[in-house]
Amino acid sequence: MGILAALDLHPYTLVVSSFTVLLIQQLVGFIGKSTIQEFAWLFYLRVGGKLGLSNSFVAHTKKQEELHKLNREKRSISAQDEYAKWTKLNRQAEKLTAEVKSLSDDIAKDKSKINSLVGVVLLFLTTLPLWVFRLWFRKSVLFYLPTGVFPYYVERVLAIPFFASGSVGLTVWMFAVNNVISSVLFLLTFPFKPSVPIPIRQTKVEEVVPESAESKESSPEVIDIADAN
Amino acid sequence: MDFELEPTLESIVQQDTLKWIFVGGKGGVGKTTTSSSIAVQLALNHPNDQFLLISTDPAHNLSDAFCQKFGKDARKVDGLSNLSCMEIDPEAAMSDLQQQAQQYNNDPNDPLKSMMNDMTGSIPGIDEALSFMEVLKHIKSQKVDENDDKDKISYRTIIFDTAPTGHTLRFLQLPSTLQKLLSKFQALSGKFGPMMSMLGGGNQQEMFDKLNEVQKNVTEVNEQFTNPDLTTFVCVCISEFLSLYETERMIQELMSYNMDVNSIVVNQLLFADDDEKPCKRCVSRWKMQKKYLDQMAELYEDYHLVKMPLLGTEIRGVENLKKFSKFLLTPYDPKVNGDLVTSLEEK
Repeated sequence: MGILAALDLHPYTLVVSSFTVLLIQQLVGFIGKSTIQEFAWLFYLRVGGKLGLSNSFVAHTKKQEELHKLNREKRSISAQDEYAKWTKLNRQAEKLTAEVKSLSDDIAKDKSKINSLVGVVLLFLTTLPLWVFRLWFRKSVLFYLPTGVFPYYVERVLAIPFFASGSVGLTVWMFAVNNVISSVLFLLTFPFKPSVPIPIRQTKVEEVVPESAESKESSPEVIDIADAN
Repeated sequence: MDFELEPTLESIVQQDTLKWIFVGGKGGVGKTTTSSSIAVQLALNHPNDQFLLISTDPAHNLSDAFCQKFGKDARKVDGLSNLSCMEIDPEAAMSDLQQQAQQYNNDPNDPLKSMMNDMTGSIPGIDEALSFMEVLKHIKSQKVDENDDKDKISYRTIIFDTAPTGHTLRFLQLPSTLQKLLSKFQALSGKFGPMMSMLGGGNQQEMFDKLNEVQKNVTEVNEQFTNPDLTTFVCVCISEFLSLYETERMIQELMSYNMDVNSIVVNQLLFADDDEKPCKRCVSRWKMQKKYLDQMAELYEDYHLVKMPLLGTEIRGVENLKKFSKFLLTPYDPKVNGDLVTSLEEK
């Protein structure tokens, strides 16, 4: 119970921390888990190489270079004229190919390890704390509304699920925070979204619409067709 | 110190423990002649033991090599009482087996049947393994004497003339694959066995037993074949690029199966250096052959490289084979033994 005893948080701490966690969650959802995993992988390659963690990647690059060199050399000599030399190169190339394959298997394993690690970290950063909050503080009041600001029915709604009128609990707080963050994100990203062309309603009459008409954003013909239907 | 190995097959012929000798190579390089020659030399050098030469090539040519008709059952060679030959078609043995499997389960609507077929059919090497098992069973059933032990092979050494197509020995990679698969099968049958028998199967158990048996046999055979004291492989090639290339690939493959390969027979050499009336074509072709021979000597320095001459006629009949096969043990010297080229009796 020691851990849970430590969870005796001040309501305002709860307000701030749940906001932070929800912000992280929304950001993760916005960036995309796979993007983060990819980024973590690149970071691992860069840093792990220096720390001696991702040896197989370095070795793989080296081996592949060697293989390319061997193949070039192999192609530069005639197999018929220098059979022994060619075959020796071929043996080396085959051995290298096998090594490269096993190394790339290792790398794939590493990558899936990193991916699952990132998944676990994200789980601990976002999903788990929210569940702990929801379970452990389901009955704690976060703050009280100043009396008289909202009409009583609004206060009743804000007290969902079972709080006394005028108080705000986690359910409503999280709902509000989620909505605000996603709206802000939407507002921030909207100007940078690619513009969507106005949809054209399909008519049954086969009409040859000139191509230039489609690309214009508000061409009169398009409106005509839409109006006609 | 120079570790040059003697260019003969003497080590194979003299080795007492060898039970299996495989002779392989691409078509047309003289596999049958070489395997027959090895068999003849073994028989001549160990007159008190019995030897068996088997061809698994569907286009049988042992009969032609010995000028004597051989069939599915071992038959002694006329003029060499301790050498027997037989020609078997592994495909035929395989189809026998399939018929047998059909007896277990002949309901065309049984989904398990096709599943089983698909699964067993998709294991690499299973075809080869099954047909080889049949061949082995067949060999075990061949007896020199009436009162020989039933479960023992009654030949000292068995020489295989392998088929040029396909990978006769591909099944050597099988044991590990099969072991994994069978353990899965067994887990499955443990779980679903009762259900299967409720669904009217009941014969599935026999199928599992059969697969188990195959696995046991394959492991046993594999142990024998990867033991260099018991088994060896003789590669046959001619001194030309493509043949050498294929030989190299074969050797690499055999080595990946942990099989012992230490002899290469180079056939159809012209030895045109000291001809009295040199023919231009022979001389230039011999030059080419020498080029590849040099390369081979460099590549396969830890192999026995046996050089055999190209003769004037086909080598057929026991007497001719005896003459020719002598040079597997003592290197052919064109100056001393040059008359061999034309001295064969036409058959």
